Amino acid sequence: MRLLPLLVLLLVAGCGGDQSSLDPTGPNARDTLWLFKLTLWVSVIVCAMVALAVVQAWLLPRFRLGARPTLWMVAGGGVVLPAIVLPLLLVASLRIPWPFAEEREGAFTIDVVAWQFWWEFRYPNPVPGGPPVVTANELHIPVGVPVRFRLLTEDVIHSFWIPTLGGKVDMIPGRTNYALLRADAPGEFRGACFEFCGLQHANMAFTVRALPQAEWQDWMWREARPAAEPEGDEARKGREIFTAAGCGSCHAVRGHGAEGATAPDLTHLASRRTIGAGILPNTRSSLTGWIAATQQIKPGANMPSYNGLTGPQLHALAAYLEGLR
Amino acid sequence: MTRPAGEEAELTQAWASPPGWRALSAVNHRPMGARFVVTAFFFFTIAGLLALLIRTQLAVPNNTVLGPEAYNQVFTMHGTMMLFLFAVPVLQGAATYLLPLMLGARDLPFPRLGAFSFWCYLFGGLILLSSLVIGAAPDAGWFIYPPLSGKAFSPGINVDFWLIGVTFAEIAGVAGAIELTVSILRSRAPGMSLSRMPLFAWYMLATAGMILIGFPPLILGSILFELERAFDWPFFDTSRGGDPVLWQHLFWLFGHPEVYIILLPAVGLLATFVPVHARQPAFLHNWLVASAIGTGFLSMGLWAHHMYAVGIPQMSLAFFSAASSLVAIPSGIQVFALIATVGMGRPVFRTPLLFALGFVVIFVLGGLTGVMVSLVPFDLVAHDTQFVVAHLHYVLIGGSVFPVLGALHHWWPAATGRMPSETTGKIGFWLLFVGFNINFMPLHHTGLAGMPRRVYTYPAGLGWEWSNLMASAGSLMFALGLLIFLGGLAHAAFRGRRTQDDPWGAGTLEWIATPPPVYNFRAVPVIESRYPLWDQAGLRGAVLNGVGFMPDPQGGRRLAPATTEVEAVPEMALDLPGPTWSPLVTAAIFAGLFLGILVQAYAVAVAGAVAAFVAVVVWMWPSERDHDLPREVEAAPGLMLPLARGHHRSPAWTALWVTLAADAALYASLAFAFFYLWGFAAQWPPAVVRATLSWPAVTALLPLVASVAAAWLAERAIRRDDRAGLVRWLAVALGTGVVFLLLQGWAAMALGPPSRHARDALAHVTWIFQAFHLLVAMTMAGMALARARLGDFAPDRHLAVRIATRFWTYAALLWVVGFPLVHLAPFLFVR
Repeated sequence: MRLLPLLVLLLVAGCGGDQSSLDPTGPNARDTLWLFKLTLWVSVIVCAMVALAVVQAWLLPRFRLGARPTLWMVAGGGVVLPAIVLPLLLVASLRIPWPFAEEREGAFTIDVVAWQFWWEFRYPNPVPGGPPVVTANELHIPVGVPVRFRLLTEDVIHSFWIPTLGGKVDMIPGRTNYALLRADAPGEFRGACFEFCGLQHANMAFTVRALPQAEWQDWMWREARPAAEPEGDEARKGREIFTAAGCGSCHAVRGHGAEGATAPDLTHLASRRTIGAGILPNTRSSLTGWIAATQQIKPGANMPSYNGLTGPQLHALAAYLEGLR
Repeated sequence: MTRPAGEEAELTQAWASPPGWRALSAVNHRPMGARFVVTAFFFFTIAGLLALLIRTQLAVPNNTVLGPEAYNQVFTMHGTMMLFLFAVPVLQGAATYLLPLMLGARDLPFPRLGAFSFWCYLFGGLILLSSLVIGAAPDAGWFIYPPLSGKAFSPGINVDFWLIGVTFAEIAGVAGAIELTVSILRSRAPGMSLSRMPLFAWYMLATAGMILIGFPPLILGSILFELERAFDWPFFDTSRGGDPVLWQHLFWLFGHPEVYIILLPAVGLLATFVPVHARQPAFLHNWLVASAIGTGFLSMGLWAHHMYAVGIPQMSLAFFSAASSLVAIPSGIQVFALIATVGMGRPVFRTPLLFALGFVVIFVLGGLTGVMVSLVPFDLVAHDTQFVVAHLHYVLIGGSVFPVLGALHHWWPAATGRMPSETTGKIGFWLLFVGFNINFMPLHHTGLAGMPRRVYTYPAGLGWEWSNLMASAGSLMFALGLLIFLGGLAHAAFRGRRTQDDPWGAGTLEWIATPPPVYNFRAVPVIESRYPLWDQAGLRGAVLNGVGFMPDPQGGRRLAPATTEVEAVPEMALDLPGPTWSPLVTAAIFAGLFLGILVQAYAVAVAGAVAAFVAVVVWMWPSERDHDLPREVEAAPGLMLPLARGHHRSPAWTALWVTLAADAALYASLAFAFFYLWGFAAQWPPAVVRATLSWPAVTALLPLVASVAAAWLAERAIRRDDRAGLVRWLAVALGTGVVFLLLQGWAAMALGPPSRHARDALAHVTWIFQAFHLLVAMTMAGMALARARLGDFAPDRHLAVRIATRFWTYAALLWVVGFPLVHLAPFLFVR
């Protein structure tokens, strides 16, 4: 009876956000939503039965039941009903292919590495034998084919979830987990970490872009290229500051001599829409603000605030980063 | 038949607790129970204020009331305090207060243990709370998963507060469970066979069983974790043979029973007060009993359903999923049987029945979402989202808080002698009920819409704004309801209308006198029914006039009958201890010991351990010599019963087996850790461990076996009235025990350093565990030896010797598992 509000809520919120399991775009998420709706209807029936019993017991003091019908009520509601419904629900749930899928060889595999508090994505190089193509906080997948994610962590336990595509899987030190997910339509969704991982667990999101095959191929080729040379004086100055400030000891910019491997790869930073694991739009002011005040914007992130840089220096640095398309 | 004048005053004097500050030495169950409940509500208030902080922070997106550090401490402490310092202790307190009254007992069989349990709980809680005061509260979530909570990622003292404080409170819980189990089995009024026992006692029996089996895995886990944090013993470190998932298993081996440890007593309270207001015996009494016990068993097999996303094999997932949904059956029976009790009766709709209604509605909804999350694909959606937050609050607030509040209202007259206000009760209820649903119903949606739990902030534009705002509004309404409800009760305690006996017309024994006198029953009655006050005419008058067992304190002793487990045949006379400082002092010493570990002042910790040993020996040392005690006591006119103290079937004997069950669960958890890592962890088999068997390890087996034989020979000697033989054989047992310890200690030096590999660390824990148990057995035997030399013990009275022998044998049997784990396993590691 009190589930009616929930039902209403679900209808109202059908539009949802782009991180909602109620807007499925992949088979696993769709099957699971169907399972949820099934359990919701079962719940409505159970609630109706309980409501009837409660109304009789609490609200109709003159209408009393004898021992025999009451026995049937308890046996029916407490034993018979669950004995029928639970196995059915169990079978229904077992029929849904689970996303853990290490056996599925041959599927296109993307390595997902979780770090406190950002995401690294490693793709096989489109050139056979080339080094993996590394990017951060923005995942690009082809539409219509299952993608196998190899889930790894560099520090604590994290959990990988793209609600619109399917179930979540933990990323645990010392283990390799897999998830097999498919997007059925192009679009942009949001994923995030779903296992509490420390101070900035709340700010550990990523963007997923599902692209049609051809577009996705193009993106891969672009992403595999080394970084563009800086254009203009300010950007060139920015590159010098980048090197002098030691940014390259953590960050990599392929082709520019920066080979750090413990922070987001910046080779194509300018092509991303957000920075800081999904928390700021990728604009000039965000970039300068982020570099100067990382610890104010995202306290606990592993990057220090570079508050010793002057305004012009920050702008030069941002100009350099904006050129990394 | 009238009792002698002045007997009642004598009884009062025998059972009275000292006034003023010396009341801290009281051990009677009612002051202890009341202290438990009041302390639990103190922690509840603080944890509730933390919840309001959480809801304030989350009311709107990008809020900055709390920073991430403060928020993480707040939500961790909210969960930790609610579960460890409120939900379990409040029900333990209710049981401590009510059970003896319901069972027709004058007190719990081990009043000092009950008091010790309370002080441990209080000190553990205060240690935990102090972390919040100094701003270093645990901040890794209430299940503190490593490696986030390990030294590398949480170098501060925060997590240590959690480990120490929670372990202390857990020890209190296990002590309480031992106490309650023995109380239920051995101190029921004569005639109260198991089939006549009140439902609350059944529920507490099932709960105590779950605590005995369910708490030890966490106690073990916490010990291992503290060893890892303090000394770098790598149980959860993947690079050295550990596995963080081992902690998850140990935690949820505790954590899932925990949910039912909280739920069952609350349902037991309902099953006891609902019939009173429905004026109808509980419908399907036996089904309820079977459901409670069935839930207890099922709860042990569900732990992995908190770990679906970890990536455990699919076959096990299907098993855990099926087992988890199966709990719906006993739960459904209990809910429907409660509704049926109201539906068949002639109910009077006072506040307690409203809370029962609140339980039914909220708990059914929580149960239904529980069935949902038991299904693996859906759980992979709901897991660690706000949906789970909603689900668990439906289960815990519906399943525990509502019944507890209803129970407070119902038993308030029994405790205070004054009637609670129906007005504040009903207003409070509706605010709580509506506020709760406004708070948590929307969070189901928020979770499905993808909002994680444990986030200190969230962006706008993801469809989470309205539901969070609504939840925050609901939380204020809920808090207001609590304020009104509890305020009404507090007011009633001082200004309420005075009650006469049994204001609700109840059927169970706690209502014979309202409030009951310090000795509970003028005489302990003979029980012939489940609802004696309804079915046994003249019972109240008889009890109040001293007709029954032990109306006479016989020289100021605290006498009460002890009965048999099943039929409750009066078997012997308990002679219970009066006020003593032992429990408080011992608990305080333990607190010092734990604080020493916490701040890594190991000298303090060692001094604390020695002091604790002394305190326990002083506590256990009998206050009177055997020959000063009466052998028999007149229990009722013409009926002599043997004194329980020293009797071979005294409740202490029952307590031994209950304690060994809990201890065996602890040891089984250790063996589980070993086999789990062996089977699943990386870096196994350990490349660094060499398979060698040192001669001291093998030779040590000989004195161990000899010591067990000597212990049994000692017992045989006293059975044959050979006191010199008893002393001699106990001395032999002690001597051979020392030889075993020396040889095994020598053999342990040949093991690898514990920080090298998880296997080495576990081997060290196992042999230290062994040594500790043998030391306990040797202490028991040493005390028995000293008492024997002072003239204690007789062929029919040597319980201390019997207990020492059994414990010694148990300790030796542990080595049947321990020796292969420590010394032989390396031969089996396949390379």
